Amino acid sequence: MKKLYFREEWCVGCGRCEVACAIEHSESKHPIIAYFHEKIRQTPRIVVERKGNISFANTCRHCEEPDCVNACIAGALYKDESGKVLYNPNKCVGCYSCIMACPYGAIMKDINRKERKQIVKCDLCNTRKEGPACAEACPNRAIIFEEKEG
Amino acid sequence: MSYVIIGNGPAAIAACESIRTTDKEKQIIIISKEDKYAYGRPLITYQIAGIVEKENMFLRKKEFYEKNNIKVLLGKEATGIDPKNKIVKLDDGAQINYEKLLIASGGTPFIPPVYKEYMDKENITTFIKWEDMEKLEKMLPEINNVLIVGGGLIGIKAAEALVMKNKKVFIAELSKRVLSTVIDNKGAYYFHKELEKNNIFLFLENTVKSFKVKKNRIEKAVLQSGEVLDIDAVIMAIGVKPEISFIKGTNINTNVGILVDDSMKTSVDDIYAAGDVAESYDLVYGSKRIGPIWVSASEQGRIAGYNMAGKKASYRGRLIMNSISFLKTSLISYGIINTDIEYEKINVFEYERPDLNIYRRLNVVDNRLIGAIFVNSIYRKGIITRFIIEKLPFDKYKDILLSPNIGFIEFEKEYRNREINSVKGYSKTKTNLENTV
Repeated sequence: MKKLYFREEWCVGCGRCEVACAIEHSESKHPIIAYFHEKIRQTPRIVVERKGNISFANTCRHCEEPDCVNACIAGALYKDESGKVLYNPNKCVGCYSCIMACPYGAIMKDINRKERKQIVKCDLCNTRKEGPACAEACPNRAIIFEEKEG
Repeated sequence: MSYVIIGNGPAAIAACESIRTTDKEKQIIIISKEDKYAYGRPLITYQIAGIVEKENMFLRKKEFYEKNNIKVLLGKEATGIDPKNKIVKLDDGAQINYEKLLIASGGTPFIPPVYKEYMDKENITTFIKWEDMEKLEKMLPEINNVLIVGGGLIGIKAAEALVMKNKKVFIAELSKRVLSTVIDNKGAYYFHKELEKNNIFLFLENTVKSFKVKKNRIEKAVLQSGEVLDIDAVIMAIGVKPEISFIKGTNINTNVGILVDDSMKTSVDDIYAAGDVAESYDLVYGSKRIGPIWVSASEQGRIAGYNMAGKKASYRGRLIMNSISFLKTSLISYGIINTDIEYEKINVFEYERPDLNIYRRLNVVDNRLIGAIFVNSIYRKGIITRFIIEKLPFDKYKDILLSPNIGFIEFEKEYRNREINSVKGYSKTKTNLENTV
């Protein structure tokens, strides 16, 4: 299956992928509305790490044997037929076992959702025809969405 | 002839899934003591608290069982195994033939003998099973003061549910702190503080000496310290022990649980064990132990399933980890969390901000991380598991391990680029999938 791959030599650390991710997962998909007018400001599912002049993005690897799915007590995390590791917020009880188990640190608390403990994770923009918004937003092709042999 | 699984929890479900990666044909029979399809037992807390509906507690949809040709015998208890004739005996007299058997019967609540006579009273329950949940649910409108016996994981989560339902909660705990198996004294302070903030009375180094019963209801609890509590309900949450009563008379080797090798096989051919019932290799302790945690039940069930279906898979070993929150306080801990006597060589590194309720602790032996505690500081902490599993040199990474923002940038370039671009992802179970003939 197609996954996201990251090239640190090409990354300029601009953080556009994080912004594109948050907007794509908002209700309006509009930058200003998403950040200032929606009830819950989205937490990016992708993280850009920076130190000195090194930077790179990283997110969920959609593992073949996902530790987060093994750890989920609620059946909220699951692997779909295509291999994507997806999240059903309606089943999640916010125990954070997935955060404990994920060796990529790819699962985040949904920090702006105050009424209920939840998480966010990359869904490879499951319903977006053009593929993941982060890859498209990257000005430098430091994020590639492609199929690789493992 | 078919696959038979005794037990109906995460290990059973994972085993079904891994069996079906190889063998799509042969029937799988699940023997379930409870009259319910596999559900998340830890969700009982959240159901009582009103966060999750009963119909959302099931781990898989009904179609899962049909699609995978899995027959679930609901409300049936295994009473014995005859390995010679490859038969599981049930409580209704039925006998089920197996080709490969998985014992994933989990744990059963541990009730000390002094409390046994009270367990049939109408306002006392354990906090493990579906029927416990329904018993408590029925009691809820009429109860106010609730005593929880045991301040471990189950007791604390029961307390959380009851506080959310505006009940007055008392906890009696034998040790010096709550959550004694998953946190140290310093870390437990933050939970004690949160309990106090929510008006929970915590009786530490204390327990119930006796109950006073009137008309089949417990009305008072007399504590060891002499205090007498007026109570409307009691939750017994002392702990669980492996459910292995039905293997009596077989040659299956046991200690506390059922001893298994790294393929999850027991000492008897064609019989496997996984989850809370299994005593398996623990990669931090370096020996076989029981370790009742959800994630390793899933991992072990998966490994057992592969091997039962003829694919060779081996388990790297369990890494104990727990994530537990009580209202606003959350904890994630890994590996060995106490400075046990056997680990005198342990070096402790800590960071603490009592004003922010943040505490981080690392336990190190011979420059290797063997355990860690994180209170209210859980951001990306799963990355820590790499240090324990892969035995990465601690001194090199000490600063990032203690920092709030762990990430990949401090790793060697080759390591981080390989890992963040991994095609297959990480596998703690190290399933070496080789087809065996």
